[in-house]
Amino acid sequence: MRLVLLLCFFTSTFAAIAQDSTYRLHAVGVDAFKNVPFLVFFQEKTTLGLYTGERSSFYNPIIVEAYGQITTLKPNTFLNVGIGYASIERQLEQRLRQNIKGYYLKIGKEYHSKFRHSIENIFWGYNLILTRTAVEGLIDLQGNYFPSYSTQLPTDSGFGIGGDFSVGFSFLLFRRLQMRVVSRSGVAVSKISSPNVPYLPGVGIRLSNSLLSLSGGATIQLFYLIKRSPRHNLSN
Amino acid sequence: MLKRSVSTSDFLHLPANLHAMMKMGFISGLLLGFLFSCTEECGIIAEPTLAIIFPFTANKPVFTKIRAINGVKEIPKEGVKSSTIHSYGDIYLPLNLNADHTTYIFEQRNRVDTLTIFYQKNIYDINKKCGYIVDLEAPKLGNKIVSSFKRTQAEYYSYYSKQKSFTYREGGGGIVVQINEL
Repeated sequence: MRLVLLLCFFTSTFAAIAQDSTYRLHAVGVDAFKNVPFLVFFQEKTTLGLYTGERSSFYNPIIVEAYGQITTLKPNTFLNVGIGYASIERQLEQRLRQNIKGYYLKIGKEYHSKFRHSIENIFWGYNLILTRTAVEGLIDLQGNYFPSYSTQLPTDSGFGIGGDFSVGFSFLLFRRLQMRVVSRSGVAVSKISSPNVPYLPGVGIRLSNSLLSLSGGATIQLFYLIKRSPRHNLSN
Repeated sequence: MLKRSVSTSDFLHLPANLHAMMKMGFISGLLLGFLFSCTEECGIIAEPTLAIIFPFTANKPVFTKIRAINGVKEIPKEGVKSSTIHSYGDIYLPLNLNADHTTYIFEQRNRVDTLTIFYQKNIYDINKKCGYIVDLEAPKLGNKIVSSFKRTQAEYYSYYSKQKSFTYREGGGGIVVQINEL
């Protein structure tokens, strides 16, 4: 049922008709779609990683990203700046509960294809990601013959750095409202790995708990294209 | 000049498919070895248990009832689980993680005994695979065990276990109480 709803959502958005071809210099955008995979796919316990075979589930995701896209002197080349906040809870088997939260900053460049200006576009780019993450943990063991036992774990916090390569396509939904479907793969270096933190804000789900780890995913962003400045003439 | 490549199957006069099978076996062995070397059990993941062993074969006690002080539910007289390949116990009883000891009352037809096992809870950040785990260890001070049974002995093994080789697994046994004489 959830898959069907997701499919309907995709179909309805792709059917939207572009209504404006305003060329833009800058854009601002948001990405709140990153919550959806956690709400759809990770509510039930799933095995992530290859180490212990322990299963975990994610719940209560709050992941919000805001973007600014600024034109550069090079044609079809943009500078991307994004800030984000992520908070997510995780249950590992029956023994560990975690609250992972953090802020992140993304800075990168994006290259747009030329066809049909801003109505439809293919783009690719790269980002540098800086993240500050804190993990609060709770060992929570369900009792059967005795009352349940729980104890707070020390908060684990620190910085991480990552990079990603993204590719996607965009189209106008309504006037200057643009939808972007982005696929990305990346790598992160972070000492925040204990105890089993598979999610790193800004990077996403990591494939291992090691210092260097890979990640990837896809998301949908909404951008508002800022009308060109009257002082600039794009034909020059 | 024609050169003929010599494979190990030619050299050992083995049929080609046998050579392929040996190769597959070797790769599978390596893979299995790797998997075994990675197998870990991350300490206590549910209510831990205490294994009780009666090291004599004749006249093992038959309990009519087993109770635990501060327990919320009656313990089955045959215990809460059975032995596994990694640990052996005649009876497995639950341990109370909210205290540093658990007291059991064992009822037989004409006899009632008590046994109190003491332990110390420790939390470790064991590695990047398991992260934080809870383990139970022998108390640093004081008694390990107090009982009305005549001769008892307690051993403390880690609840965290790791497969070290095909045949050897380290830890995982937990607390074991041996009742040598009733």
